[in-house]
Amino acid sequence: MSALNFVETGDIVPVLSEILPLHEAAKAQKLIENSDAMGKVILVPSHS
Amino acid sequence: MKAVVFFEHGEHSNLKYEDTPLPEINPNEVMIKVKASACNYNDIWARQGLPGMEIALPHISGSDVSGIIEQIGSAVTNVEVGDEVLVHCGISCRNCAYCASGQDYFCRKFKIYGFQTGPLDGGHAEYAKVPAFNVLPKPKSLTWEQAASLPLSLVTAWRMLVTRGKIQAGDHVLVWGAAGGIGMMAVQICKLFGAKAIAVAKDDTKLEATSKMGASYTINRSKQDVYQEIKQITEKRGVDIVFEHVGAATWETSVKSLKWGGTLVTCGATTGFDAKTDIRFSGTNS
Repeated sequence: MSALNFVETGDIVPVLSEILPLHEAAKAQKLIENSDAMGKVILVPSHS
Repeated sequence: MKAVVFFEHGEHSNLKYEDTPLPEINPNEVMIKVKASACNYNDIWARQGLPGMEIALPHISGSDVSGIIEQIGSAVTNVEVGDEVLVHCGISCRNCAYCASGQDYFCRKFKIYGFQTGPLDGGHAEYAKVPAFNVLPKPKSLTWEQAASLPLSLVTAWRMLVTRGKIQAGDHVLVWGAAGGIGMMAVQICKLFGAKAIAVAKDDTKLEATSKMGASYTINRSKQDVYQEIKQITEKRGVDIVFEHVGAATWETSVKSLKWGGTLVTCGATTGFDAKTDIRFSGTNS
């Protein structure tokens, strides 16, 4: 993953749309299906 | 552990948040305590079911994971318990001629973790197991959520534009769905290489976001004719590269928008796999 080098340098930055709890996976999928996300939709387990 | 599981294909209501067994690792695998996982369109395909592709049931989706190594197999030497990692989701045999030459995407055993693995083998869970070869150190500058957002989208966009598309400074690149996860990566790669991303999205708010990421031009597909805009931007020449991942809904415009000798790179095809191609254009605009 040489592309990761450009993340380290800041030339490519992550773009997050939503951060949701893991149990809201259905909502996350709807955001993507409806093209409502700007960037990535992330799920976070409760133990995090 | 808690995980998002589905037992049969169907609607969103098929996704169940419930207790599932902890993954058991083999000697070459590691178990990760998941801190964050990303969603991709392949999660949706897996839930819905794809003709011609068998999805192992019950299924846990989730190809992108960041987390902490919780346990390592007896043969693992490249990471230790406690390491902070992210997962590269391309799983291959590591032994064939393609893998040995760095072309693991052509390995006959190639699978995307959390999509083609299973049953119960994905990242939308509290714990996940993957081959030790597939974990990379998490860049320290990134949060867990940022790290999880990257692998599949970044690797796919990079492979399409850099490895296969041979992107060059000055290229015009038509980027469909530019405000989505993979589109945002494509726009940034264009900027990195000095190419001019022509971002297409469904509204102005999304297009403003793509401009901030480095898009040189924007097209609002709800209000503008994409093909006519491409002709105007490129002075009728057409684009050097089309970054396709939408499929049936955009394919004809993609092919028409190419310059003679241009390159169309594609993945996903989220609106459908049956696309119409005018063969006359495929001989010149490609």
